[in-house]
Amino acid sequence: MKRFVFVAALWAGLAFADIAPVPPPAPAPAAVHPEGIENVPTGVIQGGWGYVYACYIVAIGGTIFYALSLFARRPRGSPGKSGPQS
Amino acid sequence: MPKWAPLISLVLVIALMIVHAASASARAWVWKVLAGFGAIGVVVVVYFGLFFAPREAYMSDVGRIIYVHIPFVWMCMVGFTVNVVCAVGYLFKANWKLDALAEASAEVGIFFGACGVTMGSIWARPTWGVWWDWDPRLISTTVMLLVYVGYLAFRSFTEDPDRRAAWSAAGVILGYVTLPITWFSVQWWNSLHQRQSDSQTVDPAMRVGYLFSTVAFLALFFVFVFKRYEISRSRQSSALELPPLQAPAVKPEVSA
Repeated sequence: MKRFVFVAALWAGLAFADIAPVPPPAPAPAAVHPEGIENVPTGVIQGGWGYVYACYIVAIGGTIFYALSLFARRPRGSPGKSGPQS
Repeated sequence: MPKWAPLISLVLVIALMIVHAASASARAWVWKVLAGFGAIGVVVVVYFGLFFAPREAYMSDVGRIIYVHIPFVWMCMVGFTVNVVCAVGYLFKANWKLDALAEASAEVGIFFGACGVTMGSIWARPTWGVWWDWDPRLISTTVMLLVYVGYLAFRSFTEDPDRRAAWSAAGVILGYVTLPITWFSVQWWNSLHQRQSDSQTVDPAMRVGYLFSTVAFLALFFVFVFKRYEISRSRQSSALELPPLQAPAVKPEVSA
C-alpha cells in the first residue's frame, strides 16, 4: 500500500510538473560583442570637411608633383625619335 | 552636370588616343590636347565635388571623396593592366617599345595607386574610425602596390637590358594575379570596405560626377604614360649603345 501511494504521488508530481507555472527566465546579460560593434554609432556623419580637403589636396597636389617629376626627367634631345627601333 | 558628359568626353579621349597611336605626325600635339582636357576636367571635378555634388546619404559631406578616390584607384588598375599586356607582348615579340611602355605604365599605375590608397586611408578615419585596418581589400591593395614597386626595383637593379626586360616581364605576369584578388576581395571575404557600386546603389547625380572624373584622369593618365614612355625610350637608347663590359685592368702582383 505504501508503495502504491508512493508511486501514485510520484506519478502525480510528474504529471503536474508540466503545467506548473514556469518562472520567468533570468534577464540575459547585456550583449557584448568582442569587437565592440554595439558601440558603433548610427546616423549621418556630421562635418568632416577637413578630410575632404585633405583628399583633394592629395589628388591635385600629387598630380602636379608627378607632372613636375616627369618634366624634370624629360629626355634632352628630339622627343619621340629617341630609343632603339623594334 | 549633364548625363551625357562622361560618355561624350570618353569618346573624345579615346578618339584622341587612337589618333596618337595611329599617326606619328599627330603625336606632337595630341598629348597637349589631352593634357589640357585633363587639366580643365580636374578643375570641373573639384568644383563639382566640393560645391555642387549632393551629399551622401550616410556620410554626408565626407562622401565627396568618392570623386577623386575611385578614379585614382581605377587608373592604377588600368596602368597595371596595360603593363601586363605589354609584358606578355614582349615575351612573344621582343620589342623594346613594349618594354618601355610596360615600365611607364607600371610607374604611373603606382603613382595613382599610392594616391588612391592615401585618400582611402583619409576617408577611413571619419567613416571607420581608424586610419588603417588590416582588412582584405586594404591588404590586397597594399600587396599589389608592393609587387609593382618590386617590379620597378628589379628593373633598376638589373643592368643587362635583355635580361631586365625578359625577367621583369615574366615576373610581372605572375604579379598581376594580385589585381583580380584586389578587385574581388570585397566579394570573397568579409571586408570593412564596401562592395563595388552599381547603378542600383549610386544616385545618378553622383555617378555622372565620378564617371566624368574618371575620364578626366584617364586623359592625364595617358599623358603621364606617354611622357614616361619617352623617358624609358631615352634610357633604353643610352643603355643599348653602351660598349660591352670589360674586365677591369688587373695590376700584376710583384713578388719579392
